[in-house]
Amino acid sequence: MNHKLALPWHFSCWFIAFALALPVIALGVEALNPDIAIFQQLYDTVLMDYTRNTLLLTILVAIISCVLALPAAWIIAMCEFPGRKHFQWALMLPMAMPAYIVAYIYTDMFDYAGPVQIALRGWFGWQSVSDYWFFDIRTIPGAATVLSLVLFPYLYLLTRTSFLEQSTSLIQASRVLGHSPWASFWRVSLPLARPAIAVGLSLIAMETVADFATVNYFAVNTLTTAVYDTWIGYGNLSAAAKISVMTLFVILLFVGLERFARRKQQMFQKNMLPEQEIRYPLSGFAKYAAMAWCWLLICAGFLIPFLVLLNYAWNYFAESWTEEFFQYSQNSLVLALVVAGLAVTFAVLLGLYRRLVATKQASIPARISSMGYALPGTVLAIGIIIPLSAADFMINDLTELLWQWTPGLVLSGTVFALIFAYLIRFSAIAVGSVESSIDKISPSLDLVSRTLGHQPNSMIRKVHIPLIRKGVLAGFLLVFIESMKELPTALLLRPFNYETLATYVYQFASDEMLEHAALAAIVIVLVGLIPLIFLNRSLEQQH
Amino acid sequence: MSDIISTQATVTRVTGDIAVPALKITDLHCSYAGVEILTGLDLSLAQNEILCLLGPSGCGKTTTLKLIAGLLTPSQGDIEVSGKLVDSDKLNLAPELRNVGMIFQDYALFPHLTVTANVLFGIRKLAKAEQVKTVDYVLDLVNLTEFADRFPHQLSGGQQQRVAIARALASSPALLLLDEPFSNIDSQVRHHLIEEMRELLKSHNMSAIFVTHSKEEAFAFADRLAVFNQGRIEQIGTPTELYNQPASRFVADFLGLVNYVDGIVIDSHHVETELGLITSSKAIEYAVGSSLQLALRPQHLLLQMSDQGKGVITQQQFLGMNCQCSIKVAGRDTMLTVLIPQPMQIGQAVNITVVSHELVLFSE
Repeated sequence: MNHKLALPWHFSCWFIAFALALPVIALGVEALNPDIAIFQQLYDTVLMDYTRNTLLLTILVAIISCVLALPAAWIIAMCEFPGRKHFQWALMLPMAMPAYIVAYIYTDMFDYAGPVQIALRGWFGWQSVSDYWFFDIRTIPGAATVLSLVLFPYLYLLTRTSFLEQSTSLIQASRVLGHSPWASFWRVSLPLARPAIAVGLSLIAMETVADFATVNYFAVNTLTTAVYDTWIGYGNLSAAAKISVMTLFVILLFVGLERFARRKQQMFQKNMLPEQEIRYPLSGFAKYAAMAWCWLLICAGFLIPFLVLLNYAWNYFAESWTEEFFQYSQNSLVLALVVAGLAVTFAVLLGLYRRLVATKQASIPARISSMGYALPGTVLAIGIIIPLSAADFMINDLTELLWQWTPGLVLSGTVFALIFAYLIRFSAIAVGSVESSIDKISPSLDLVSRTLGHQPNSMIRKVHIPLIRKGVLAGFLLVFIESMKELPTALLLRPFNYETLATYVYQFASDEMLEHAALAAIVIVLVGLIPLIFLNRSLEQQH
Repeated sequence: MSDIISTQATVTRVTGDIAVPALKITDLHCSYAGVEILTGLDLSLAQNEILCLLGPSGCGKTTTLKLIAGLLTPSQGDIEVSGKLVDSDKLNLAPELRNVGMIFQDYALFPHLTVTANVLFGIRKLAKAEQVKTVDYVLDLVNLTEFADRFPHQLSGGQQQRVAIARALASSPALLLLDEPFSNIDSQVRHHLIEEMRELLKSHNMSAIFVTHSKEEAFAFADRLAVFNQGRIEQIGTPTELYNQPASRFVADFLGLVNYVDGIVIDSHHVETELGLITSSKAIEYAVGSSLQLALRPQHLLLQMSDQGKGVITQQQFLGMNCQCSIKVAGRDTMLTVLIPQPMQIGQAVNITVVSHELVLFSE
């Protein structure tokens, strides 16, 4: 049913969509800028290496994530062993750990001067580097391992769900048709989970390509660090835009892969009866191996780094408990609250627009607003700087002309740029959350409200808004959390003398003094734990 | 031609010793989450026989099927498939080693495999040439040759079921287990499919156990029926035996409409009831003078219009082939249900006579 909406509503929806799409348009336009001197120079020297690094890193992260996550997903979904229920959610804990913090802590631990090598030298009587071989963590494989340790939960979560959703009768049919549990895994469970694995891997790949802090900390040069260096180092916007567009193509590759995988997922989950879960009971060696594997992942990805952080905070409490810590916490908090509030407002507006104007075009604003999530933080920042600085110049020219006075960089040089960037990056989360709860409202409720004499506006107030409150709240919370954690966008766009918790922690980490910002790091981790509680609750309800 | 015959030989199980039962279950117990689902089940299935396990949901019939397949572990009892022990106190053979075929309620077709690959799934250990022959043969058998390269989701429900049958038959199992195979089929084609499948199983000398909660399916498909009630078999026999000579009120009620009438045995062939003197075509086993309940199927009652009749038609439901009506009889609390060929007037008074037959009597 098509409900007649006021014109401002149509207008504001399309305006939001346009504003949120602006950086991508700006990047495209700026990339076409014929000034290619710097870009040419980069291209001739390092750019190909950076691209190769990016791809190599992504492939390594994908492989290591598979090795870590797939066995864990299968044993949690299909086997019964002590502690399974707790491992089920504990395996998601690493998601709360920012990768650069893990990178810092493991570098500290495994470096030449770190406790591990010191202990080894003590035990074996080695004198210097030449006496023994030890892996170097500041390499591409090292960065890939660290990123995998915090990114594998994506793959674990999706694959585990996929294993659980597979009809038990398929496994039983495979057994009756002469396959052992092991053969059934290879010939039935794994092929059926393939779409979920592909989706998980493409998410991980997108996160890896977008990562800035970890690779920068390890001095591994990728496309994202190239964007950062070109802008901060050379101050060349057009070259940065060109590299950004290159990065976007890599991202688009993975988005396409994800879409392709999801297309198949539909058919794999149709027509299956829900059944009771039947798990293989594990005993003896298998039982201990399963438990050890889960413990290994949880310790390496969460417990060890978190305990080290707690230890830092304890030992350096006075250095951490500073006025800056409170000032920057407040900055992050206010910023995140504003962004989350605006994001859900836009999401509700766009979601209801799509619902009430039941045409194909009406869903376009919501789709456009969801695209920003795929933009890596550094790329997004460049995309924002281009239109905002242009607007600033225009404003200043105009005021100069009219009143002989210039206000300065009111858009690109203030928190406005940060809020705008965060909105683009995280609107997708709010839109997804709100949209899914709108879709759960039966269309007949709309018909009933209208026949009972309610205008569209009154129907929205009395029926829709009360019913989507939960989705709005969840969207708000998720955007809030992501905004608290976001680093690369903030690094490039923050105004002079403005720090968020994340940039504060990152500065100390790059200055090899994370100890002094341990409290701030702990706050970031704890905030990151909140969505896991929600996720776990919704999973518990399902199974 | 000779090709087809030789392939048929691989698919059609060579029925060895006819004296060895296809399945023998002794004192089978099973509990799940502390609840006893089966309490001492004994069952035997002859070669080439189709047995139906019939009962309300939750009575343990699907559990029995899964125990036979090895998908569940019994807490006690023995299972033998074609003379080979597969379950006992010391043994619990894995499902893949039992040589039984199973057709699941949702068919459990592998969605990532084509029809051909689904059929091949169970016969990967055969020689390549043998695999190809078998696939061609079974797909031809279920008329799906032209769909060989389709995926399950591209097939209709009936076609999916036929793939499941082809897949199960391909590995020529000693025993075929079917878990409510017709429950997802449109009622209009169900009857036809049942006929087809029975034909198929019979022509291939398959021994099969079939689970359902629908008595119509059971009557049409089975050689013998076992009516389940709360984890044990209430009665076992041919469909007509069970329908005409139910051993308990549960079986009588489960298999169709019944009217219960109080009666007293007058002599070896007569019972006096509120409907008058009723004659049994077979000698009554109860002592003269016993007070009993007589179970009468609707078709055993005949109505005649008569203004002096003891009964009055109060309701009727037109069913097409006949008409089911409720009769209020003076002095009776419950209505009698009777089938008549043509609708009559509501309020019409009728005389009720009972056709002479082998009476079914229960002592309360």
